[in-house]
Amino acid sequence: MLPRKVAAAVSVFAVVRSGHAVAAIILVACIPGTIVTLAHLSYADTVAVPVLALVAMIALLALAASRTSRTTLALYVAVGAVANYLFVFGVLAHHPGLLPTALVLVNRPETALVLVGTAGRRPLPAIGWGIAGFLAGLATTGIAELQLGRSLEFGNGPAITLANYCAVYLGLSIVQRAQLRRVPDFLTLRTETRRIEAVLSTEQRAVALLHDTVLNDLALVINGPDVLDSRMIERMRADVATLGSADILPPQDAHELVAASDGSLRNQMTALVSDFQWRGLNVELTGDTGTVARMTPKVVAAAVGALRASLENVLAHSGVDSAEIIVSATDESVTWTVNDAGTGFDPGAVPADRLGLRSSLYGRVESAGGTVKVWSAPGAGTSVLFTLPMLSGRAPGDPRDPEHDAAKTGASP
Amino acid sequence: MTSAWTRSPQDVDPLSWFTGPRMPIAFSIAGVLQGTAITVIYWHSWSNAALQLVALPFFLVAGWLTALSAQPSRPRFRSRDAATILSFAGAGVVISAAGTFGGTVPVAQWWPGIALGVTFVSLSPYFTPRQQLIFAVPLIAFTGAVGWIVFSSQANFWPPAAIVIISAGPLAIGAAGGVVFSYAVVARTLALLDTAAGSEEFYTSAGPPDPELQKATVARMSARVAPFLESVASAGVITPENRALAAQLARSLRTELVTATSRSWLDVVAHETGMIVSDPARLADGMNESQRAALRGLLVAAVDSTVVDRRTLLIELRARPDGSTAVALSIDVNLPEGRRLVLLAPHYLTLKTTVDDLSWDDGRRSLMRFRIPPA
Repeated sequence: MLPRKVAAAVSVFAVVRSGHAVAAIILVACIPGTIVTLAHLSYADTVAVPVLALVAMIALLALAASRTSRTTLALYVAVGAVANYLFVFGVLAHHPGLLPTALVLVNRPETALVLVGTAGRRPLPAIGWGIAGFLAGLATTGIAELQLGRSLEFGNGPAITLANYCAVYLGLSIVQRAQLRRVPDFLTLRTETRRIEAVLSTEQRAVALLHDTVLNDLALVINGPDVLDSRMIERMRADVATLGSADILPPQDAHELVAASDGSLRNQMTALVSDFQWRGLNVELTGDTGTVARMTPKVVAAAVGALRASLENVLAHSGVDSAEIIVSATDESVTWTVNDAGTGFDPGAVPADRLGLRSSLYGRVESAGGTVKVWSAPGAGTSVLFTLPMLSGRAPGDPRDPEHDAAKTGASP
Repeated sequence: MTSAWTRSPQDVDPLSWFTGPRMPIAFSIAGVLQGTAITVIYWHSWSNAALQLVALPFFLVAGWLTALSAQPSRPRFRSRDAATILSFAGAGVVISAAGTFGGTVPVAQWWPGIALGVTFVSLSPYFTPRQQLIFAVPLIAFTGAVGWIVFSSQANFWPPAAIVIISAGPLAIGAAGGVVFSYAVVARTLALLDTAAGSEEFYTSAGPPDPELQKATVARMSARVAPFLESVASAGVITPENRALAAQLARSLRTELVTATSRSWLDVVAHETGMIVSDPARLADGMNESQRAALRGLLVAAVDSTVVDRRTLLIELRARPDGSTAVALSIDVNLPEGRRLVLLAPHYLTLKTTVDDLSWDDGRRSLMRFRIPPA
């Protein structure tokens, strides 16, 4: 849908074009009308000047319609008024008996001169142009009649046309003003909708963050030893500090590239694996661990977050003390598979209020443009597979030149 | 024939022409006023002036019918509607002709041609250029023929061809203006929409997420937990009281996180407007940004008005077998039909451009139904 101001400009443009079409019809119809009428009155040999004047006006109108600008509109009014003078003079000079009966023919060019339009996007200036055209036509018709020694006769046509012309543009202006008040501004609505979605998205990511940090820490307080070791204290303090830090949530700018030689994914994965090993989970990392991939910071954060959530689930629910991470990469994406041989679960029976899979895994990966699949059954272990996109294919030089371009997908545990 | 010939301005930009309900009536009144003035000025020149007065209301009825047919809550304007409207105006032409035949009114002052031209122009926002051409040609021939029959019997200054041109001229002018107007609106709008497709030329982004909002959200959710964990970390030991409080905090935090995770954008709008949402399958999340913006605009406008009881706002979303989503929205508006139309029509039309099969049962309790196609 067009924004209202653009749509309003389209309406003005269309009304101007419509006015030009009406003026063209009037002028074109006036040619056979003049020829037929003068021929009917046996003045056929005097049609040349009036017809040439009409042709000149049609040419000026075509110029104004095809290259609408203040200059071409002014040219139409000024030179068109001269052509109107020639037409009136040419028609009345040889056959004075035409008036008043044939006023409807004589004042046609004057009528067409009213329909000037505007070169702008607002309707009201068209009224000024119309009045200018009307006065120019009125003046040149009057001059021609006075030169021929006739009384001034203009007919009602141009005045009625001017009244209707002004009414149309005035009405258009009123309607457009009313619309601006009453019609919803879709631009604003979309912006506000995005704001709501940004708030929701922020909340979803905050949920994932809190789930991965303080909920785990609370679980430690509920189920942990009476005396905390230094690593537990350090982790708890780090989590609390994370909540108050400036870069609290992963970056969102999808267009921001990972800097060249950035090993953030590799480093974060190394730290993650090390952390879980300290907490009692043996993690084996295999597959395309040397692949060099170009990923946005958001995708890197989603990968690390999803891996952390998967390993937390293994540690908390599987009942085993080992897990395997397999990394595989194509030109477009990287896939991580986290396997454990634990108790497993029925994915279809997970209650709707369980946050782990929904927010920490699905929400995180899907918001970064990836996909998640979970295979599990009671007693049969669990496999979590998630795929995240790369910005482009593997970097040239991969895998021999790990410093070449971007984040490495894996690390040695 | 390009699509600019086969679509109406109302099709491509319904919002610009919803104010039309009054526009065709204003046009018809303008035409009838001119006819009335000419009738009075030439009162003694008609063969039957009373028939002119009888003919005038036919053009008013034509304008009223146009306004009625173009209402946003009615089905798309059809050729049948135009035929009915132009038949009424044509009947006015014939009645006026009967009262003109044998009189001495100049052909240039025969007003029905003007009124018919005005009627035709008032159809142009709702009528495709092609349909206008199809209707204009026989109508111009009809008017020219009637004019020739009426005025050729007069002792006349004008040759027969000029009589036909003068009689049918106003209609021809109206038709040409209408066709060009419709074509210009449709062609320019489609070109602009094509230019805008896939780009953000017209719409600015809401910008990146606000870091302060992020911090505030996390701080709000962790307000009780963070100090507690800090104190436990400082103490280095866990007491039974710590464990009890941790369990309580974990339950409370989990509830809050689950609520936040389950919240759809429509729940946010519901909170904003006080309406009742029935969307057990979270189908609202399947709506795209334009659909969300249009629906929210309608709901907020309804709630902002003083005549809508916000407690009566109800929206229900249900999955359909074909993968689409059926949506029913009911609004209790305590207004007469005309004012209810003015209040809701702009938003209805905005919504109409974003969803399928939108219908509006406009009783006292306005009920709108539409379908969201599968993604």
